[in-house]
Amino acid sequence: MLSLSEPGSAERQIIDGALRHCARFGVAKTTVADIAREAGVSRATVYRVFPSGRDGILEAVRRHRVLSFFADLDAELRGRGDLADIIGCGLHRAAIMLASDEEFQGLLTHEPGPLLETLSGRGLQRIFAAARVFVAPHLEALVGSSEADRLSEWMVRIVLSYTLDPSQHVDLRSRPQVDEFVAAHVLPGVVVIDAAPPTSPTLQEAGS
Amino acid sequence: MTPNGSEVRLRILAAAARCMTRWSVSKTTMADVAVEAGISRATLYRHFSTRDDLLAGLVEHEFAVFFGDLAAFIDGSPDLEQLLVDGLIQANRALEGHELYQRVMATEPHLVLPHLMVASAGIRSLIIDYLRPWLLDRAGGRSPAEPADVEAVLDYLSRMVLSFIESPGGWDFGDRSAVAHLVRSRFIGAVDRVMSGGTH
Repeated sequence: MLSLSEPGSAERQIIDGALRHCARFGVAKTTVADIAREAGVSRATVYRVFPSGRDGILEAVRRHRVLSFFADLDAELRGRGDLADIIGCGLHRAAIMLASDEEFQGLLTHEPGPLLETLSGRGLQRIFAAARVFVAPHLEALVGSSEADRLSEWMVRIVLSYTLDPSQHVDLRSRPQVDEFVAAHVLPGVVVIDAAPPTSPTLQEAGS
Repeated sequence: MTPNGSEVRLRILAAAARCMTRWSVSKTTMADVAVEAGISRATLYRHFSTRDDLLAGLVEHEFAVFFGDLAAFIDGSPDLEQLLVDGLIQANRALEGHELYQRVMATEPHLVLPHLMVASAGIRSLIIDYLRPWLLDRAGGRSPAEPADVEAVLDYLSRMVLSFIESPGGWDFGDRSAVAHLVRSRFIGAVDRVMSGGTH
């Protein structure tokens, strides 16, 4: 379920076409005909790949955006062995990626409803799941698997809150500020609990 | 605004909440709300010029009621840690039982989420003011922390409060010991670190 569609496939062409059209004209004004034209395929092809039409395409677009975001983040985190560095790098890169994502920023300004829908409720669960798949493995050796899952979820909460509702106290786009934030707000919660071995009864109990 | 005006405003908001719970947001018209509130359309438009305006007012009002009830529930807590545990559990329960919120989030979240985002900044400053004395109390009034650091940790706490109320994620809010673990690790760890002057 958590894999990107193959580059060059009809599915991918349609998703890319939908992404381009939505970025320029907004989600509300994007029709199946627009997407087909932008993707350079026939409407029949669109309906063959996505029998449910517009809803199915938009759902695939949302999934694609989350997965490609986390695949990029995963690449940034590779080869880092220090807990503070992995968390700091993850928060910092995620904030930078969102800040420089023109589609994300455009939607946030002009069409926040559909964007926020992908960041809350079921959409948020999807992001938590992606963080467990792409971010948690980098943390697992250091804090154990159940805490790694929760830490990755915590990182998602932090990035979303400080990005959607900017703080006057910390700007996650600044790595030195992120490092201070991680030392003050995040590490105490991880280190205190996990000073015990990763399989401590507290964690087991909380995970059951 | 005259007392009479604010009374009408509350009546409109209550009527809007009933209509939207019954029919959904998009199917509720300004005329429906006027009829439900027992006022003229002219009076309704004097208070809210569009349905979106009305929705924004309703979100702000429901937020204030929700957190007012929550504050009343946790006011007698012995300390910050208990307050956060009881507050998160109660808030989660209250939100699950909030018919209008559940309905809107299930069927037309895109209409209400932008208003929730706008209102949440105001709610965060209420949460911050509410939590500040509890934080100072935990440090026994002798915190060596810089005021700026205290405000930064309050800012952080208010964000996590909203985030965990909105979505428990992988945490089981029906299990008190799980929530206690959540509060110790994600809230109290940061508080104690800052209030002991540990960031400098």
